[in-house]
Amino acid sequence: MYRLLRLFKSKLRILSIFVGALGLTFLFMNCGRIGGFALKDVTGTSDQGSSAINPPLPPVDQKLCTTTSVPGRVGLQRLTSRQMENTLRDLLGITVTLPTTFSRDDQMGGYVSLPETQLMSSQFVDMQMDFIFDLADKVVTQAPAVVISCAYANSATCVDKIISDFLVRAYRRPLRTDEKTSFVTQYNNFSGTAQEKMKVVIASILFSPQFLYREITNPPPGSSNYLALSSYELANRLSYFAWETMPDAQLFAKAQSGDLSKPEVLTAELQRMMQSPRIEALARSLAEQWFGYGSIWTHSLNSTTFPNFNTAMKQSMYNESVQFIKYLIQQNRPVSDIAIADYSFVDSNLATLYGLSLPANSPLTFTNIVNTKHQGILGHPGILALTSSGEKTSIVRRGLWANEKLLCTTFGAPPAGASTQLPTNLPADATPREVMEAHRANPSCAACHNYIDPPGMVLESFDPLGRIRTTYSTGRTIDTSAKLANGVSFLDTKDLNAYLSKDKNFSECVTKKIMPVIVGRVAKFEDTCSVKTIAEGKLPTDITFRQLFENMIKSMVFTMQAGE
Amino acid sequence: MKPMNRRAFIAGSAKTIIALPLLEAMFLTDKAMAQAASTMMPRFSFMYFANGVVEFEGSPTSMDKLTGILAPLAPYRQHLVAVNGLSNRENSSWDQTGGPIGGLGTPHETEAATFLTCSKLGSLGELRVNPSIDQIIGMSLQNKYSTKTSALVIGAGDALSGIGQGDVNMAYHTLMSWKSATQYVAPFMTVNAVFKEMFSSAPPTTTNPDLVKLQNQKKSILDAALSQISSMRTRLGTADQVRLDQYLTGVRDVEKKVNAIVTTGPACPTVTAPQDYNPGDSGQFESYIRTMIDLITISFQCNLIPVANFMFTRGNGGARSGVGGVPDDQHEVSHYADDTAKKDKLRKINTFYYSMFAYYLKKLNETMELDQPMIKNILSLYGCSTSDAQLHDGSNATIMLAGGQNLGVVTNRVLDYGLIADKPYGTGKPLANLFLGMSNVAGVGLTKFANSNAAINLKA
Repeated sequence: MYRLLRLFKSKLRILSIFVGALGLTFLFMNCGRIGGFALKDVTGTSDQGSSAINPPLPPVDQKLCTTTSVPGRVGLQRLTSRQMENTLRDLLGITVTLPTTFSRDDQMGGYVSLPETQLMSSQFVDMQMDFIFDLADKVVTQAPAVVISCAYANSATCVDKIISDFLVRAYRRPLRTDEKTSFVTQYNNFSGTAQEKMKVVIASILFSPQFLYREITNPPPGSSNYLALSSYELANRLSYFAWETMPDAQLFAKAQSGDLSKPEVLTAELQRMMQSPRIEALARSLAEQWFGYGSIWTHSLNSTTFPNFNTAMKQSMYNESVQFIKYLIQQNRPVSDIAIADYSFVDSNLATLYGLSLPANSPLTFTNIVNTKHQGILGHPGILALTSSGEKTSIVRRGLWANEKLLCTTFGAPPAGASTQLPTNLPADATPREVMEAHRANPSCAACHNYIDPPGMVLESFDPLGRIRTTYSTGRTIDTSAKLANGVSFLDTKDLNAYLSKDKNFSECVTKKIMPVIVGRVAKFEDTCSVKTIAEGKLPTDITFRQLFENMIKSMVFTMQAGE
Repeated sequence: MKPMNRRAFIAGSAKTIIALPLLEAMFLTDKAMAQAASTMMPRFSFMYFANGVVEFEGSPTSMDKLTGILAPLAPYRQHLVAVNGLSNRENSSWDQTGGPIGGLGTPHETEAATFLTCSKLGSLGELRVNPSIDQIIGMSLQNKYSTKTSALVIGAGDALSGIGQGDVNMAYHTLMSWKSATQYVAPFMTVNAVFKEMFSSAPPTTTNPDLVKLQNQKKSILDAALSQISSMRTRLGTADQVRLDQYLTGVRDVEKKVNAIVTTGPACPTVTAPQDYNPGDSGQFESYIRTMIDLITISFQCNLIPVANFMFTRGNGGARSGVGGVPDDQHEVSHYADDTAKKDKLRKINTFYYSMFAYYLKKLNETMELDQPMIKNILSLYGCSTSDAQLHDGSNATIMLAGGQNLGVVTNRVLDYGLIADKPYGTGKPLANLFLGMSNVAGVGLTKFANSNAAINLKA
């Protein structure tokens, strides 16, 4: 099916990832709670066990589905640099800062935790070795109680306890046969002082792939079989998207008891985590990976024209969107706020861009945004700067951003033979809008640009820093009216935002956009029904952002793993 | 403990030559010098700039015509070989049927990953690249001379910028050096990182007990990792096994590094930490490149690496403005069409990048190694897959070679394979032929590289 979809895409070169009307038989019934499995004895040496093959699937809303939903598969995810930093901090109980040279995360469409894009290089392993080596030295020297819980120098029992406690927490799951023994043996066989032995073992555990990767139990290959995630696997998945770190004590306890496999317990844990200040980690992930803020630090504008687009300004822009997302989650705001929120978080840097006056050095504070053009994420200066380049705005970049990030419409490469250069035979004072109109006169360009350009034309009311403007430097008035390919017309950003806030597809698109951050894979055709179920078929005004997360963690998208 | 290896011996004998009384040294003939140099490790560098140049202005018809954007190179003409008209077109956007290959876009999206690999690329979710020539040469020399790494790979830190790039894996934009089909070599992006990697850690030696102790600790950690990897591997599906194998390769490379016995070159200076520069800041970009070039030069001088690889920017230049005093985005300027103002801006940008290569040649030329300028012991390649920035179709690569005379390379000449705009598919001589020729200079013993059909003989 997916192959068919790719073909479809390559022919038409444009489509939403989801086409819900292919009329396929709906196979799985609405049948009860998810399965689950947990070991009672965390430190035991028994196997992880295996859950029943093909347990009952979580319910989907059949009224919304015209296609089958089947569990998907997530490959081996590596801890991202931020996840590693946080995990080491929580695991070791000491301050940990990754070297800046180390924090390179491969990304696809902004997402950094998709296994397909997480390539591994020898340099990474090399830096990891040096970093872990020094870190282990720090641990044995500082001897934090969370790791070094007893005097091990002359006590085999204590060595055993330290290693097995540390291993369970570092691997974030019950131990497998022989795992503890192999490290105790390493300790005993290494020739050196007790402290050197302990250092070598701690470094070895942190250097193991079991620490670096998040492994999920796989069903036997070669069939359509699937498994329910174990309660430990659920705990890890939950913790890494919500807080970007290893499970805390309470989450581990719920995993150990097996309770986490109950949907109501899983939901309660998510709610607890969302109320914590640590949920800012999720807000940062979404700002960076969904909205594209990951690249703001290296983004540049013409420094003569925009000298104030400096690191301090970038930081303000980034903080604004992060606090905005955090607020949406914690205040349980409707999805439509993403498009039409009449508030944001503004400091004195941003005030100049919003046309507000704040005293110098005012920190970021909740601020009512009265100007309707500036409302919602499309009015955030950071987004508007990220989609500009040099000294100009770009209808194409902004249009692509709105299409890909908010409408879930993606585009392939320009078709063969299409000229990617813009017409140059226009008057010197031609507006960007006129340039794009001339470009769309070519039907092979218009096929995509009829979709790409309209949101970009609406956003021409903002300069590269996100300030509202009404004329170009040529003196020509900016026309922000546009018509989407589906016939809907807009006069300005207020209309575009209002349109999004009332579009059911927007709820589904947001669901798809948060999914890679939550589960580590992109929504595919087979997930259509799950996505619809998560979005509940509701208008963005009628479902909260937080509800999407709660619905997703109960869905098969989150709780099931298919075979290869 | 490994016995003292061959390279340590060579470096030792080189030191003896240096230590000869001045008078005797003066009587060494050029031939004897060249012979002494020939026992040294051959070294190679690969440097890259993005987006191409104005028409064919990077491809001179004779070495007397190093003018315009090439003017910065004129003082070094006796060291240069211009290689014109080679095609990397199989790897650009359009295949023989006129359609994009593997669903990929224009060469901007693919240029970095195709430049030194000459390979077709897999599309989204399916990374597929041949090993790159810098790694092939580097890995071969690493095995022969037991260096710590196969190559020092550097790239300006804008590797991840950009929004709305469609389906194309960002790795193709940003990564030029590939060890295997799925395993890239991550570039060091900061001055500090390169300094730390090359100069800040003392190598283990048999005479320093503290260092031997650290080496033994690392060996134990590596052994444990290998055993953990093999136990995890059995539980994984095939795609995940490939991922884990990449980690395994990394662990094995660290093992080689830990076991390497590092000896420094005959004229290795003491290096202090240089100032760090932010390549994302247009005011610091030039200092960043110069400092990296300084570090590369010293790494060669100290015999630490067989190969250096430096991408001045990522595949399409990134969202980078201010290069060469041109305030506009350099990628936007490269689409100059018939706009003469834009052409002039692109020339300024091109001139800036050639002046950076000229700075590198100046450093190599000033650094003496066995009384010879080091430039003669190192074969350097500079360029990009495209010649005409406006067309950027990969049918005429812009390539300048420099140095390597003591490796047998004949310089001060133009190798012309026909500059014809927009060559029909498959008609140009493959760029891979040049890389095969370079591997012959390195003595790798390859018979074919990617789509090569004959090696270019650089020695005659």
